[in-house]
Amino acid sequence: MIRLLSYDFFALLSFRKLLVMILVFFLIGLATQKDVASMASIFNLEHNVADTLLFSFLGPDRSGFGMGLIKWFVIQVVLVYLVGKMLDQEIRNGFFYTIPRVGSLHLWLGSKLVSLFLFTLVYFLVGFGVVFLLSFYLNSFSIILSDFFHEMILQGQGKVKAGLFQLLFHNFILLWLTGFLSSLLQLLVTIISNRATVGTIFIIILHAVSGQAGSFSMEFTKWLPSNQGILMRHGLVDPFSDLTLSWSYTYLSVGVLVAVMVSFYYINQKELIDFSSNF
Amino acid sequence: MMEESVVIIRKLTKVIGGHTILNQIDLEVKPGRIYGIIGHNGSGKSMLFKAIAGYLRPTKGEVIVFGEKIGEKAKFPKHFGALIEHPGFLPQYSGMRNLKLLAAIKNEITDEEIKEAITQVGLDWQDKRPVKKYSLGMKQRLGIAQAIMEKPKLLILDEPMNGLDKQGVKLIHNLLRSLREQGVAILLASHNRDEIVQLSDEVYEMDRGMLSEVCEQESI
Repeated sequence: MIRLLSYDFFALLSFRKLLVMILVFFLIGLATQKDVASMASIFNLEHNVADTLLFSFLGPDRSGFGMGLIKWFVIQVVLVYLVGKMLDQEIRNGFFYTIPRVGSLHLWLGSKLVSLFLFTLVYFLVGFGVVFLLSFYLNSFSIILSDFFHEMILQGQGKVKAGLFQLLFHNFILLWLTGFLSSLLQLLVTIISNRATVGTIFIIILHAVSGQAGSFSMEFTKWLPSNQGILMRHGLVDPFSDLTLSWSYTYLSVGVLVAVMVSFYYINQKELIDFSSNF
Repeated sequence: MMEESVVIIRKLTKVIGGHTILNQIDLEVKPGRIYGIIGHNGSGKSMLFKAIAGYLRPTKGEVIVFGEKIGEKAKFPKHFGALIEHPGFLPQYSGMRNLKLLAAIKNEITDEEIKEAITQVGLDWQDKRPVKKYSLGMKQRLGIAQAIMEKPKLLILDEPMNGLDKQGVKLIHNLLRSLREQGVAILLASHNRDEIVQLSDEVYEMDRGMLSEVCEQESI
């Protein structure tokens, strides 16, 4: 399986795709830096290295409008596109070469799952790394949250009840696990529909609905997978939100488990292992 | 002494969505022979190959490859190479890199053997261009190289001459004859009757999921 994993990982990650990832996160970091610098000058508050990093990845607030939504959506769509490219190549005919060599459908699927787990990790590590380096270059270094951050989040109504590292840790893990769950759903829909485009469009629609959902129902927001990765909508940052970290971690763990089980069940039942067939 | 059969297919039937894709197929494949299957698109040639390769679960009947019933003892046959449908490689990597990544899954052959397979199909293993820049014929040749590189005892080739020029067709014909001499059992499908008749020891025709023997090559 490890040898197939290497094939799958090379299918997912090439030098060119790595450059695309770096460029996307660089632009997101740059846009965030511009916003942070201009808002900080309006409020006449000091900002630091953590502000650009956090505001690049916290995601949209409950209203679901503005730059927060656009940046979050771009990050999700690029991931969906990269995963979709790999799935498209594999189901077009690549599986004819890989499945007989590995000799087991379970190992083939298992390798896809593990490579998606690792790829989503690499994707967000690159993202946080690029934005951190950019922010580190442009801002003063600090390991505490700035007054600017508290002002932007709570609009003068106190301080965020979490430390910088706590926020960064949960932000990263939630984004990664949500990205992984989305990739699993994309894989599952692709296997069921025999088309990578169907899986890709399904996840993009899911993200679009999730991004806007907060504006019409917070209760509904809680149940959508994409929202679990938006720290801005969690009670840790938003005192008016009842979306808790424990809810999201439980949701993501159960979601991943169910998606994996359904994928294995479905592939066992498939009477024709031919994703390129119209039957 | 009787040669042991590489593939035995008995009463193989596949029904998908009410359509009978394969209908009561019987076939025995011996080593060192080329079996040609003629049939137009949609006749069931590719489905038959997919059944042998383990991609399709028979509705009735059985497929036995190297003594193992496919779908029971073995999900997929061992010692076989295949080119089914269009070659699907990682487009961003060179031909050599693609074959190295695929060969690494089984880890049974050396880089030298991969280079040999690429050379046998008339490609240059040192060609650094990514596969996405290959012509259809080059992709087809690379597909054949991946099928033969692990020295299979059973080779399944679905429309292998697609996109090849005259020189390429001649080269692949000679390669298949040489593999037959080495004892490889070859199943070949094409819609081109002349090509199949020219190459095969036994010729079959596939029509609406039914397989019938046309005649022995000697009598053609």
